[in-house]
Amino acid sequence: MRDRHRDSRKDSKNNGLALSAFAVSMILLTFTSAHASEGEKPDGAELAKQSDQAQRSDSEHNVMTMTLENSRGQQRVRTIEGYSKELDDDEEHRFVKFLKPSDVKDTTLLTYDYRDDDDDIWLYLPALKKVKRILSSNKTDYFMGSDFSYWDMENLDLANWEYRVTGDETLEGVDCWILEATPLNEDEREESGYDKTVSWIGKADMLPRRVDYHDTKGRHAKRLTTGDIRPTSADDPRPRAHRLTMENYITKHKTVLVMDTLELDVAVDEETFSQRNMRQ
Amino acid sequence: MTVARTAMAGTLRFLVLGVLLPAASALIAAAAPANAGDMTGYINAGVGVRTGEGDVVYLRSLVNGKFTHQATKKLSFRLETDVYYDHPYFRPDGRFNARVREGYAKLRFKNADLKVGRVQVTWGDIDGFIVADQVSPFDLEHFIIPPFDEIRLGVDGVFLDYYFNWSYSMQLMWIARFNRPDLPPSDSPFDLFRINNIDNALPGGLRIENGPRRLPAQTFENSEAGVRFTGTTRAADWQVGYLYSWDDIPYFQFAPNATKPGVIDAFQAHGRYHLFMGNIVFPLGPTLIRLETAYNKDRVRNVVIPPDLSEPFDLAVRQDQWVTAGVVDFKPTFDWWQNADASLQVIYDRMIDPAPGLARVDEAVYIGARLSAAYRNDTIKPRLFAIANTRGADTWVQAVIDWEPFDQWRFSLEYDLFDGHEYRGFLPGFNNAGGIYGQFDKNDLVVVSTRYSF
Repeated sequence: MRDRHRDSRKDSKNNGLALSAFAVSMILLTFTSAHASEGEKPDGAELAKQSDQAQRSDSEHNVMTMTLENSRGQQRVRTIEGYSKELDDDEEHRFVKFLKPSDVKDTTLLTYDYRDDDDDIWLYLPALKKVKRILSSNKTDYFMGSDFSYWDMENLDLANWEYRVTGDETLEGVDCWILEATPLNEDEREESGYDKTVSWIGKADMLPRRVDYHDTKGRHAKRLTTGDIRPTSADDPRPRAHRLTMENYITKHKTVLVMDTLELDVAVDEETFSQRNMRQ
Repeated sequence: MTVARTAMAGTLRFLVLGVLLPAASALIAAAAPANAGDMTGYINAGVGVRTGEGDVVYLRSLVNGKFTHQATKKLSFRLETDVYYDHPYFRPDGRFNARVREGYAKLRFKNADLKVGRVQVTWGDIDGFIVADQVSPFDLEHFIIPPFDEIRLGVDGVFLDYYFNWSYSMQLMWIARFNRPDLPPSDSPFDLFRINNIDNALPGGLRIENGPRRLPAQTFENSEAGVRFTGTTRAADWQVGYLYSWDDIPYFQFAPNATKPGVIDAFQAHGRYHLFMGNIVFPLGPTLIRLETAYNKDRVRNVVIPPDLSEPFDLAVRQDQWVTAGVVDFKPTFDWWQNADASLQVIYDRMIDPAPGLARVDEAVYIGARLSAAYRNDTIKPRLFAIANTRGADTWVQAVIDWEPFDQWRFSLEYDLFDGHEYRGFLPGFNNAGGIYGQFDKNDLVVVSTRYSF
C-alpha cells in the first residue's frame, strides 16, 4: 500500500512549475480535513495532515479554462490540458499543454516531481522547436500570468507551518472550520511570501470554500474562493470544486479557473510524460 | 520624409499581405471541414531605424502560416510558410518573398518518427550564440534582429528519430541538398562577411568587385548526413552528435576579372566540414548549468597572404575550430524583479593551429548575460541581453520590452547598441580587438514591432 501523504515532501524544494494544470485539485487537496465531532475543534495539524487522504487520485486528466481579468475588466483566456500520474511514493509525473490562445498554443510543460529532491522540469516552446530543461521557479513567482503563485499551488508543508483551528463560521450556507496557518521559520516565510493563510473548510465535505493570503508586509493580499463543488461525474461521486477564483487585492487582478473536463484514476500511458509527446 | 515614405509604402503592402491574406486564410480554414487540419500563424510588422544615420535599416511585414493535418493515426502533414515584404533603405525597391520554412510528411511508429520533406532541425541548447545549432540555416538578412522564431529555416531530407525508451533516443538524418542561409546583400549595413579587409592584402591598384554567390551542385555526392544521440536522465540531459555538412558561413574565392583589368572578382562560396558536438545540461544547487561544445573540423576560412595573380586564387585554408559555451541559469530574488530569470555565459572560440594570415581572430572569449522579468500578470516583459568580446571593441547590448495587453497581440520596443569595430588584427598595426558585433558599430537602432497571432 503506497503512502498517499505527500504533503511534507517539499520542505526544501524550489519547486515552481509543480503547480501545472492541476491547480484545482492540488489546492483542494491541501485543505481537506479530518472529521471532528460536533462542537469540538479538530487539531489543526491533523486537519492539514489528513488533507489529501479523501481526495487524492492515482492519475488525472483535465481540461480547464483560465481567465485572467484586470481591474478594467479586460480578459485574457487560456485553455489548458493536463495529465498527472503518481508512479510510486517518491515520484509523480505531470504533463501540461496550452491549447489556446494561438500565441501560446502547444507550449508544453513536463514535470517529474520527486519526494525528496528538486523537480525535473522541461519546457517545449513550439516557436523554437526545442525541449529545454528549465529551472524550478521561485515560489513567489506567478504561474503563467495568473494570480496563483507557485507556492499557492503546492501541497502543504506540515514541517514548517503551524496550523490552528480558530473557530467556525457559516459561509454561504455551508458550515466551515476556520484554519489558520503561519510559517514556523523565516526561510519558509520568505519562500512562501506569506505571513499567514486563513482557510474556511466545509465541515461536511472537507473542501475549502475560501482561503485568505496575508503577505509578508502584513497585507491581506489575495483571496481564493471555490465554487461549483459537485461530483466529478455521474460515475464518480467524489466531489471536486470545478471553479476557483483568486483575487489579488494588491494588483486588482483576478484569475478564474474553470474545470471543463475532469477525470480521476484514468489510464494514462507513461509515454504521455515523455519529451517525444511534448513535440507532437 | 524618406523614412515616412518608406514606412508608408511598407504599410500599404503590409495591409495587402498582412490583412487580406490572413483574412482569406481564416475564411478558408473556417470553411474547411472540422477534420481538415489545424491552422495557426502570426502577422508581424516591424520597423527599425538606425539612431545615428536616421535610416530605415529594417522594415519587414511578414505573414506566417502553419498548417497541420492528422490524416491517420500514424500519418500527419505539416506546412509552415512565410510571405513577407522587405524594404530597408538600401533596397531601391521593396521585395516580396515567399518561402516554405517547413513542409513534411510524418510517419509515427511505435518507437520511431520518420519525417520526409523540409524540416527545421535544432541541435544544442545555447541561446543567443550559435555553437552546435548548425543543422538548419538561418535567415540572417537583418543579423539576428527579427524574433528568433522567424529566422530558422528548414533543410530538405529524411529524418528518423528512434526512441530506445523514454529516456534515450537517436536521430538519423540525410539532407539531400545544401539549404543556404539568407545572408545580407553586400550593400547592407548588416553585411556579415566583408571583403574590404582582405583587399588590403592585395597589391596596390587592384579593385575587388562582388561576383555571384557560388553554391554546391545539387548532387547526391553533395548531400549531408548526421546522427545525434540524446539522453534525458534525472541527473542530466545530454546530446552527442556528428554532421557532415556544408558550411553556412561562406568564405571568399577570388579570380582576376576576364574583361576588367585591375579588377578582382570575389565570390562567396561554401566549404565542406565535419561538425562534432556535445552538450550537457544539469541542475547544480539553485542553478542550472549548460555546457556545449562544437569541434568544427576542416572549416574553410580566408587568409590574407598576397596571392599569385596569374591564376584564380582562393586565399583560403582549412582550419579546425573549437567553440565551447558554459552557461549558468539562476533566479534572482528581489521584490522589484518579478518572475526573474538570469543567466551568465562564457564562450570560448579558438582556431586550432591558426594558419599565418588567417583573416579572423584566432582565439576569443565572449562574456554574456541575459536578464528577463514579467510584470503586471505577464503583460509587460522586459529583457536584456549583452555580450562582449574580452579583447574589446566588440559588444552588443539588446534591450526589449514586450507588451501583451490582449491575447494574441504583442507590441515590442527594442534598442540595439553595438560598440567597437571589425576585426583587423591580421593587418599590420592593428591589435586583436574588434569582431562580429563591433563591425556593426554604426548600426545602433530602435525597432518597433507588432505581432498578431491567429
